Amino acid sequence: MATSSTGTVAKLRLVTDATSTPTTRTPALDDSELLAAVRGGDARAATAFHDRMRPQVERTVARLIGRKDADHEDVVQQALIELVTTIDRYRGECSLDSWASTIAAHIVYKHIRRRKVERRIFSALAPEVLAQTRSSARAGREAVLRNAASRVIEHLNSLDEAKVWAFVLHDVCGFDLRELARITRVSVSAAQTRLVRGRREVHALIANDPELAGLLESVEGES
Amino acid sequence: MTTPRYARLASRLLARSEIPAAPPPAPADRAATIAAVAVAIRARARRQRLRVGVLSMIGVAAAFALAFGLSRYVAQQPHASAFSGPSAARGAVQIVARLVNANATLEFPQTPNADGWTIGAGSRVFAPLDRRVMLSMSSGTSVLVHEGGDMSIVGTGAVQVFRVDAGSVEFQVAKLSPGDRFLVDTSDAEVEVRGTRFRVSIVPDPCANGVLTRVSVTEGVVAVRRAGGEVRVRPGEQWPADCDQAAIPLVPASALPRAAPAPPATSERRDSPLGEQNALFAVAVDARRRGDTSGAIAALEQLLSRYPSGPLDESARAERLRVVRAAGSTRTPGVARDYLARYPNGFARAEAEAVLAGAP
Repeated sequence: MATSSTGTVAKLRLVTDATSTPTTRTPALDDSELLAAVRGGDARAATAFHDRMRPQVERTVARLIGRKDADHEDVVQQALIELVTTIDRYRGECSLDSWASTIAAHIVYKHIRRRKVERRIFSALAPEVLAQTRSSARAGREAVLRNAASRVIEHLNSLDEAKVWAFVLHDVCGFDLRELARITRVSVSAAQTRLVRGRREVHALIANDPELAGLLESVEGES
Repeated sequence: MTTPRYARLASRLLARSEIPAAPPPAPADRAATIAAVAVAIRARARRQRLRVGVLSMIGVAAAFALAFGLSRYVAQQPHASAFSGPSAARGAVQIVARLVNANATLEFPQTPNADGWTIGAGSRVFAPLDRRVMLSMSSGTSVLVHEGGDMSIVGTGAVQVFRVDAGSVEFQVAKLSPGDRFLVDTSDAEVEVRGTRFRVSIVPDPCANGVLTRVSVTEGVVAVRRAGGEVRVRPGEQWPADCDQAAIPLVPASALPRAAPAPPATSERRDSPLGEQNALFAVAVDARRRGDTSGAIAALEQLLSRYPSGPLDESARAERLRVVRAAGSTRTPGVARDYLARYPNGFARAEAEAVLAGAP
């Protein structure tokens, strides 16, 4: 290693990126302080609240309608506002993330139902999400998975919307029955009925598609 | 809840997708979203303040309504009147007489105080022909003795009893406590209050059954007892039903005069003009019964000319109409027009209209 004759030693130091966008950082608040501030009407907590809640909201919205959806940013904003508006309903019975996720899913649910076109869930999700499938195997294997998912989504889009929502939110996104009921604004028993019927219909459709059924069996066997 | 196999496989496949961490939002989007969140926080706080304000107002209004209701309830109790002292105790309703105008005649032993004259059982009130006397009771009841009225206060306890001997007396009776009664006696009937507003009149011309008392009810129901029988008289009805109401037309409550303090005058009852009017009227009725048409008309004309605005004016004009009609006089239509011109809604209106319509 060459060193200067003068004996100066090169030191590493952190340099801020002058070209990066400066972001305003607010003092970190824990969840209880954050909730108390928002409940107390302190608008200065808006930034902290945004930064805390946005990732979970973003993830939920992205899973349901994809990031490339034209309304993505609007839906995220709507969901954050809804979180503020309904904050009194959060009693700490679940994690703050779960609650944020439920509220965001409800906003997406309402948003898609209001749409005149492209009302089907996963319509924007499919190509984007499937490109991100966790397949670390060969490209061919990834293509098989993408193909299978694509055909499943095609079948889902032929089913009754309410049953598809129940199936996707519960079995794919992982919301429990109570959250499913809250998102779709129905009773828990109604949500359960929809879920049971949705599953049955999904099963029947795939069973009538031997090629897809075989594909799913093989994917399952390999995983 | 067992998930069907292919539904389970399909959900597993879709759930395998991994949502990568979102890239940071564009600065403009972030700023806009934070601003929207701040607005939402402020709006929520405003709504909450408004809600608290509205709830507070509702609470205050409810408290006020409760207090008002309680005060009304207390005010309606006989013990809680504006009158204090032993005379206001239950069983002794206090009565204060105020002269509607000067020159009314009151006969009672007490001396006047600042509010008027506190009177009680045994007092007798006469009103002159052109004045009225208002009695205000601690129970909330008010009594208006009309011109020429003669009324005695018999009892002021749990059973309040008044006796009407002449003229018209209008009663506006406050709600009675359980067990209390309010009675008005006349020479030939007893009226018991079930309602709130009615008039008892004594007329000089009896009905065919000889009854001199007339009762007309404006609000509520009163019971009229006579000769062992009882009749309920309802709003708009009169008693006796088959008899003309020879009484002064009812004065609406809103038109009741306000009390004006004035010193009472001395008694002048027995030699009052009313006595003369009564005498003239009695002569006319007696003459008609005897078939002396001209004598009846002469007495009535004399009464009408001497007391054109007296309390018997309407009765005299109605009586004159009956007399000339029974006699088949050519004056009948003119007399009928004269009656309707003065009393377009009088008690003999139907008779006058029938005459003008050519009915026999």
